[in-house]
Amino acid sequence: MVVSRRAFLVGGGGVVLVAGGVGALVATDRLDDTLRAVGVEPHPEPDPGDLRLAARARADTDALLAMASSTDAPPDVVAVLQRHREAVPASLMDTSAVSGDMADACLAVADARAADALAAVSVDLVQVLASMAAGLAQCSARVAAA
Amino acid sequence: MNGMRNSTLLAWLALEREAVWFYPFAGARVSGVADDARTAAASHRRTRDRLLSLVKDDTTTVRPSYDVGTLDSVDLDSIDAVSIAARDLEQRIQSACLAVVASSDGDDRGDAIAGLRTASLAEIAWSGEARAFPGMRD
Repeated sequence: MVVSRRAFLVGGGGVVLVAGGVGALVATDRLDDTLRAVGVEPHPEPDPGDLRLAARARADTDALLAMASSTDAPPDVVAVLQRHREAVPASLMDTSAVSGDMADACLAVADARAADALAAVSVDLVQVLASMAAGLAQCSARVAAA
Repeated sequence: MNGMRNSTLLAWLALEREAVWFYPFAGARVSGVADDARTAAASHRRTRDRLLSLVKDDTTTVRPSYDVGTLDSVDLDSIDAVSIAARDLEQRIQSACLAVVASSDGDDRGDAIAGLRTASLAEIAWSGEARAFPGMRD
C-alpha cells in the first residue's frame, strides 16, 4: 500500500485548520451545531499532544533550514527541508534545540521525529513523522557524503 | 493477530524476500556492485528472518513479487541499471514499512520505523537523492 503524501497534507492541514477554528467556535459552545448547519460533520478535536509534536517538528525544521542556508548543503537537502516546512503550518511554533554540524543535526532531528512517531495518536501524523524521520536520515547521509 | 497488521507485514516480508533474491542476482551480473550487493543481501536477509519471526501465520503463501523469469528480463547490465532497480526496490520497501507503521503499534511500529529508515538510507547508498517523505507517494 502506498500512502499519499497529498492525502496527508490535506488531512493534516484539515486537522490544523479545524484546530485553529476550534478556539473561536468552542468559545461559543456551538461547534457541532455550527458545523452541521453548513453540512459538515464535526471533526474530532486534535490531540493536544499531537499538536505539540507538530509544533516541535516545525521548530526543528526551521532551525535546520537556517543552518542549511549558512552552510553549503546539497540542493536536495534544502528541498527536503522546505517541503517539511510546508507540511507544518507556521501557527504551530515551539523552540528547537538543534545544534552541531548539519549532518549530526539532521540525524538528531531524525531520531526525534522517529520517537515522536511512536508517541503520536493520529495515524496520519504517525506516518508523516516516521516519513519525515526517514527523509532527515537521508539528508544526514547526503550532507556527510558531500 | 490483527488482520491489517498481518497483511502489511506479509507485504513487507515479500519485498524483503525479493531483495534477498535480487541483490545476489545483481551482484553476479555486474561485478562492479558485487560487494555492495553482498552487503545489501545480508542486511535484507536479517530483516527477512526478523519478519518471519513476527509473522505467525503460514508464510508459505508469501512469494517474491518478481519470479526468476521476470528478474532475468530486467536489463541489469551496468552499475547504473542496478542502482535504478535497487532504488526502486528500496522505495517499495519504504512504502511497505509505512503501511506497517500505520497498521501496528508498540514494538512492531518501532520495527517498521527502523525498517523505513534502513530502506531510505539504502536508497541513498545506491546513488539516490534525499526525498522529503520516503514511503509516501509524491
